[in-house]
Amino acid sequence: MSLTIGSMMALSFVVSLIALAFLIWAVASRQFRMDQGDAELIFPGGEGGDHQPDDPTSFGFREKAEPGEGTDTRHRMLLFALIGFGTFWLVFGSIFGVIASLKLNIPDWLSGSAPMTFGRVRTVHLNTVIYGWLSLAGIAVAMFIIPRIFKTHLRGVNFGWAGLVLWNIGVAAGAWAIATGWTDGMEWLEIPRPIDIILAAGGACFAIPLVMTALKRNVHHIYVTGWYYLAALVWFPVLFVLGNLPMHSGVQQATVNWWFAHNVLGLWLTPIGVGAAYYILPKIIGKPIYSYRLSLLGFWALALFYSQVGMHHLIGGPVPTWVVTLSVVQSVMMFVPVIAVAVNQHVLWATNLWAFKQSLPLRFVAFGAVMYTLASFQGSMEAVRAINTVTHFTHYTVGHAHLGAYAFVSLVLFGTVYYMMPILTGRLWPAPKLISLHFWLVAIGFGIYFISLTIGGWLQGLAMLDASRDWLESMQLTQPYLRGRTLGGTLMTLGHAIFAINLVSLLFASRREATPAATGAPATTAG
Amino acid sequence: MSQHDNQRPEPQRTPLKESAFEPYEVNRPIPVLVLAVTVALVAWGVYTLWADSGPSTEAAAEAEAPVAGIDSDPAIADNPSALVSAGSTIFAANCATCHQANGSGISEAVPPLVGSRYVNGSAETPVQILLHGIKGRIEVAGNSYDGRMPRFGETLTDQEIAAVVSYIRQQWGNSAAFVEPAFVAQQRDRFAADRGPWNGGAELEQVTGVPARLARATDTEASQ
Repeated sequence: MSLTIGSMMALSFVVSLIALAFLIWAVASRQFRMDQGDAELIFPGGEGGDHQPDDPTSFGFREKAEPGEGTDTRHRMLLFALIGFGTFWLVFGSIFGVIASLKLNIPDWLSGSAPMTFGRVRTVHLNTVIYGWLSLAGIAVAMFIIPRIFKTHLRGVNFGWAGLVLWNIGVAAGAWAIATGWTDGMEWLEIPRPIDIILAAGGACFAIPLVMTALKRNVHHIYVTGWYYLAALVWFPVLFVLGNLPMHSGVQQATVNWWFAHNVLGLWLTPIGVGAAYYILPKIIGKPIYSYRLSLLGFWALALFYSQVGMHHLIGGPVPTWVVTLSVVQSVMMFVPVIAVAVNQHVLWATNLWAFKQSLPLRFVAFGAVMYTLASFQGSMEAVRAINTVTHFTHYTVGHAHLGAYAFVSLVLFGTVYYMMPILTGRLWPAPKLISLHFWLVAIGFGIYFISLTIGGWLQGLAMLDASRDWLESMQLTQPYLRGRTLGGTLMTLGHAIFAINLVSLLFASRREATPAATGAPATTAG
Repeated sequence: MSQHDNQRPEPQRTPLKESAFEPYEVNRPIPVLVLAVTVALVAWGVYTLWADSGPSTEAAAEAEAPVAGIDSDPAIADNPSALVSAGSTIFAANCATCHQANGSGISEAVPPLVGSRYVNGSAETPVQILLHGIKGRIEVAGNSYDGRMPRFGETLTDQEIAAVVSYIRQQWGNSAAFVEPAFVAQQRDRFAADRGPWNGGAELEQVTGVPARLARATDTEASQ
């Protein structure tokens, strides 16, 4: 009975392996004709030699809009609106995150009103940062990069505007519904189904312009960022609709729930972050990515292995053993795409450390790229039963979630926004020091947050496993670490406020070419 | 922070145009080390799936253990007091989490066994509920419940079901007759094992004749 389904699932693993072997063979025997020569043909300019990093905090933009670079006015206004609303949800969601964290220190605080109880505050935090901030900013980045790598302008901008309106209504209504206690009751799927319909419609409106743009592309070769973004645009709508269909119950529901929740990270947020890093790192540094073949391996291994990763959240639950085992195996197989992406991206920035001194966005993006590697390695290990036994149901998992969704995806998005805004506005960031302050606030804040929760969560897990210790002890010992969590979270939230201030200040910045005199910076020669 | 900024060149530098450089990828081969890691992971994955594919799991073995001794012992089958004492072990392992050790159930969530007309009436009712599980609306002891109970037809043998039903029919003031394993076997044959849970008190009424609603008599009266 279960053997039939079990062998089918095992078969899917075997098929993935065969596909992977075929891919490696095809790459090795040069079945893919697109090589460096073609790439250079498409992207004139060649390998960057000695020049300054391509950092818009260091150059002024000419007002002349360049066709094919995605800079017509309506397109630009859409990107500003996406980033603006995304940032609003970021600050809003962060405040709720800090409130939730404070509640672990001061349990009775704000417990008088139902919307401000921990269960709802934490859930509002999760949904607003995932669906509000990360998704909107991710769409903005996709709408910035996709027309550029396809050498055309963004089509269907009006769909984008419709998507913006619908999506914001959906997120706002979802946050309101959760606060009033109206939820679907499954993690990551809390937003009630009627509101999900609004979000699904909004998501479709975001996808249409990007797909239309891809169809009208003026290049034959699709740069690796394009693969990730186009794939994510297919994966996420399928995930979101299937995850929300009211057709699952009981154990099936739990399985579908975690299948969805983990895939939001791996097949939606990860492509957004990895794709952006794949574009921004070489763009700023001015040198190409290490290996096209590794890009292929990284992308296809993610596509083949990720979708069954989520069920490791049900280790110890009443699901068939083979479901969990398959999920554990697929989780560990994620080392393959992560190593491929790591080699590709880290070799590039690690051999060009000079650029860090001069580029602020690069700091964010490279930091985020490293965090992707760390988060994925940690995630693969956490899926192994021996480690999961300790970390499951502890704060350790919360630390890991923030390593992936925050230190990786958010940091990459911060850097990308800092990179693209001067290009889009033709204005310089008025206060680069505030960008630096933003970086250090979120980097240090995240460090405190992550280390606290990792140590505290691990100790908590060990205490819960020790039958000779009272359960309450496992709660009490986390208290100092939970204060660290609040401290780190507060620093990150301050960083987000600085980010918002930076964006607002750009509105009031003068629209002119920067001169060394105007910015007060010393005019140094190119290094 | 300002210390850092003082040490490195100002990020705000000479104005430039956006660089014409477009990102691309060099056509280098995949490093051998990456391929080696991939092959090693594949080997590990195949082995793990293979090693874990057997039917036995720790959880199942644990659940079997406490009741293993009584599932086919002929000495117990004909002996009511042995049956009831074996039933108490099975009850503690499988039922007490929800129905509570004293059979009181949980207010508004799990129906009580104490004084329930389903437990104390004809023995076919509790046996059928255990065999197939039950979901939906059911009225017990004057309160209405709407929950779900899993089936035990696969996990418990006829003798184990006879033991636990006998136990709950003679505990906490209940005083109905004990149930023989043969009777459970006979009840098991009435319906397909995978027919799904009973649909609340309404369907039980059709099958066993226990009325879903009691207009005249209270539960307590029915059980006496």
